[in-house]
Amino acid sequence: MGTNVRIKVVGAGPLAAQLSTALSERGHELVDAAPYEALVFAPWDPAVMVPRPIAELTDAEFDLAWQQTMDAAVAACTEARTAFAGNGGAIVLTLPTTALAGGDHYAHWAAAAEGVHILTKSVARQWGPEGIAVNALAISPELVLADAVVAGPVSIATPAVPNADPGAVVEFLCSNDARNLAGQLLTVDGGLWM
Amino acid sequence: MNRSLEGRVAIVTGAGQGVGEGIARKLASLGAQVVIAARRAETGEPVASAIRADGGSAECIVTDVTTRGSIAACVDGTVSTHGRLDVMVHNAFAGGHASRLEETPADAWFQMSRTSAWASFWCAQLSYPHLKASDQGRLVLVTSPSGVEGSANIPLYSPAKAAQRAIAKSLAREWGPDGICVNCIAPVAETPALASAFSQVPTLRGAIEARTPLGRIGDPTDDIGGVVAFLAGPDSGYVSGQTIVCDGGSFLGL
Repeated sequence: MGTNVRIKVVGAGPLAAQLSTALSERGHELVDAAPYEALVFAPWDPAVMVPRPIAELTDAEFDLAWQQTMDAAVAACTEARTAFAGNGGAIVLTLPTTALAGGDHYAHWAAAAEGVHILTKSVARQWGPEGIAVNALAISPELVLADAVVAGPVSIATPAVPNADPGAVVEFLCSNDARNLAGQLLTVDGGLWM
Repeated sequence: MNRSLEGRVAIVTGAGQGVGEGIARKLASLGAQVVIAARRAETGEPVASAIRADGGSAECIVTDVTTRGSIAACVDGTVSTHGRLDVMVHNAFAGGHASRLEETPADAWFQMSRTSAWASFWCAQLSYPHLKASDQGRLVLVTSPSGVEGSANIPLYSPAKAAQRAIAKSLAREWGPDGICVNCIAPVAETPALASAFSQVPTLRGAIEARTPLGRIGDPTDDIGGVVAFLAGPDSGYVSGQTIVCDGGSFLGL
């Protein structure tokens, strides 16, 4: 993929750990603070992404899912722009395809995921002229939802690419090779969501 | 005379002006008993009066969709008066002003988040028992083409509106077994909100009209209200989880 990149990965769950490992194994430097050239926002964590019928959903649960995720996404993007210090950079916002397909008993987390998805487009439009490439990476709900079965199928098809690994794609989106992409969503879920 | 919504009871939030008023007028013209859920009686009462003057059924219940309790009172008042609730249309929105993401005031984001995502959650949850009891329960969320495309002018408006589409898809799955249809409409219409946007971004009207194949901006009643009436009525019983972009053909990306 060429030049190694200083990358900050935001998130404490297994998805963030998986992406961090993939990026580290590819020779990139993972950092917690500026300066860095790429941000990966991956807050999704099955420990908290539990299903709930909307009839039983509490305000605290909706706040945790929708409000706190969006607030964290905005904060991470804004911090990254400062960290890029006018030199451009890459922002990669991850989301489960539940954003696109909806999820039975998962309205709260689907709202957050689709919010992050469309935030990607807005930020790409505003910050693209500054040399900041903002794109999204969609991953399988099975990687982050506590109960993807409850959420319902994204597709009735079997995966075209079983066990698809998002590592190489997130590396690409962090690289200079992706600087001509803006507001795009690349989906690495085995081909279930098309 | 088309009376396809005769006997149906509908709540329309943000119906004191703009798209909400257009939707309420259209639903009432088709026979629905309409509750004008407006934040201010000064705007809601005249709309209700005008509908009644035209021979329709309407009343205003002052409703602040940024609070759960106010929406609950609206739903309870509607059911208390009419004995049922068949259609919930959440249209109200506030807080959208042009800004850079990094400069968006916290209170503007609070308003956008509350009136879109939070209010959609509350409208859905609080109306659910009544929609389930109806033989044609319908939830319609008014989103925006910007909720699909993103926005360079109001960056947080877009995710706030996008959340509604994800909620609609999720509830289409969740409530399908109850026979409830949940959909979104993404309109572009002549409204006070759009007029405000035009004043903030003077080139916006020309840009919208230039990219709109039908060459005009929609009418809240005839262009937008008619589509919501379809989603609220008996002919849309096999349509759920969808977003109808009602913008004169401007956005063709779905």
